[in-house]
Amino acid sequence: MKPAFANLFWGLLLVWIDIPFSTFDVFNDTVGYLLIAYGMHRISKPIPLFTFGRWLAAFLAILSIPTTFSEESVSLFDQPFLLQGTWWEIWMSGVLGEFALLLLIYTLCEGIGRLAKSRGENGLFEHMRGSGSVYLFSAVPLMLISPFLLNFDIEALPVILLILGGVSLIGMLLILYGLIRAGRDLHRTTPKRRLDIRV
Amino acid sequence: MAYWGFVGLAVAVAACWFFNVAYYREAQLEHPVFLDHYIEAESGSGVVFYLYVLENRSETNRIERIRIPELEDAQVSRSWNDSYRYQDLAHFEVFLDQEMASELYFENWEHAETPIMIGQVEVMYTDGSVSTENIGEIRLYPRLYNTDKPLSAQDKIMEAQRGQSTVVAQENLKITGVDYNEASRLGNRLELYWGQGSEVGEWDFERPEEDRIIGKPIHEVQFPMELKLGEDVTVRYRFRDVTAQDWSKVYQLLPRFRVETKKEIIQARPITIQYSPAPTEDEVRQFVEERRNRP
Repeated sequence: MKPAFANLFWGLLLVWIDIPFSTFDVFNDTVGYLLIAYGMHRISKPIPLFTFGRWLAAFLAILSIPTTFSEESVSLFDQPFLLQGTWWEIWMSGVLGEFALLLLIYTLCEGIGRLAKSRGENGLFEHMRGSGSVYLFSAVPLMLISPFLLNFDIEALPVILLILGGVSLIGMLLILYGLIRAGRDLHRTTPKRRLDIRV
Repeated sequence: MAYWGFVGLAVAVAACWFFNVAYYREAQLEHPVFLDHYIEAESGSGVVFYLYVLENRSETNRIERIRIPELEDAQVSRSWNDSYRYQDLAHFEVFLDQEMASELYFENWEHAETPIMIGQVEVMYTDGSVSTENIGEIRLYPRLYNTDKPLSAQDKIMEAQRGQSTVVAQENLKITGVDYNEASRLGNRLELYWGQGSEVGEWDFERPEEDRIIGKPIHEVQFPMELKLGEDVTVRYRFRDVTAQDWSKVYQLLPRFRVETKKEIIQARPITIQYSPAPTEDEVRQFVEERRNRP
């Protein structure tokens, strides 16, 4: 099980970190999503939620292909894209991609949390639920507020976005730490075996 | 519960983006737009005037060069941009150097009323495309006299929509009138004041506008008026935008002074009255909306 969590950890790290080299992202998102899909596939038996999650990750991998191989930016804040892109491109590359990533992270935290709870790892369960909540409760307002940056000057907006961005960063770091912890704690043994040893 | 939460979030995020992208697109011009110019300029002294273009800030295909067919050698260069949320108001400086100006051919030089009329320019874009754009009207007049100036302008102060010039007599002369008929197209936007001596206070920017001593309205001035060598008069002007679209009509006027000297009766255009557009964000947005809604 440990390699599966390692897949999830590295996959999420690739998705999260962007280091553009010329027009190519060294930390390739497509590879990251494929790693997450593969990791979820490997542990979809003990975590049924990951059956959905792996398809979601695969879908995100497909969505991220244009940004990997196209020289043209498809960022929602890239003005030529906003002007010339069709509504379909905007939904697919921007809104849907952002939303699906949020759903994927929720699935990841919830799935691992449920497994941890079933194995009696309440500490890990609380950690995954907590870090998932921290991320979601900062990322959701970010998703809702950020479109308004296109059109409106709201004085407090940059400060709000900075705070939410900071909290979201902490949430993501906690999730990554949770994945390391899951690889360590959930790998060790099952509660049943632990009970056997005690007997 | 989580399921419905995500469904609700998906709808909310999509709605936020839909509204903002639609609002953003609605604020974009389909192509750069030249403002409506009315420019009077006098050849022979290194003419400088400005053409104003409103273009999208996000525009990748920008104006690279402007050519004025009637003034083939005029140097047209982008001077600076005033930036708004979605658009830049670009100022293009048109400059005729002394040599070029002297080569201008006026068909009726003797009849100084006939200017060179320019209504269109050729615009070259960064993608290599070319278009012809209406700019309004530029009237380039020949110089009205070729002797020493009987009236010369000094102490010019120009702001975007107001300014003043002091005109000094270079010999004993008589001003028999000031024509600015072309200004009638401005309606009540232009206010012209005329003052001598105590009628004209300092150009005091700190004082409230209404408290400044600005002279008397020009239509109340009694002509003819004698000026001895070295005496001066001050002409002040102020544009008042009446409607939200006024800013998009750009003016540069040369009022014509009818002057009698001992030797001759001449006309002179010693002062320049100019309006530089400085619209608000709302005015620019309204202008863009109107342009987009035009059939």
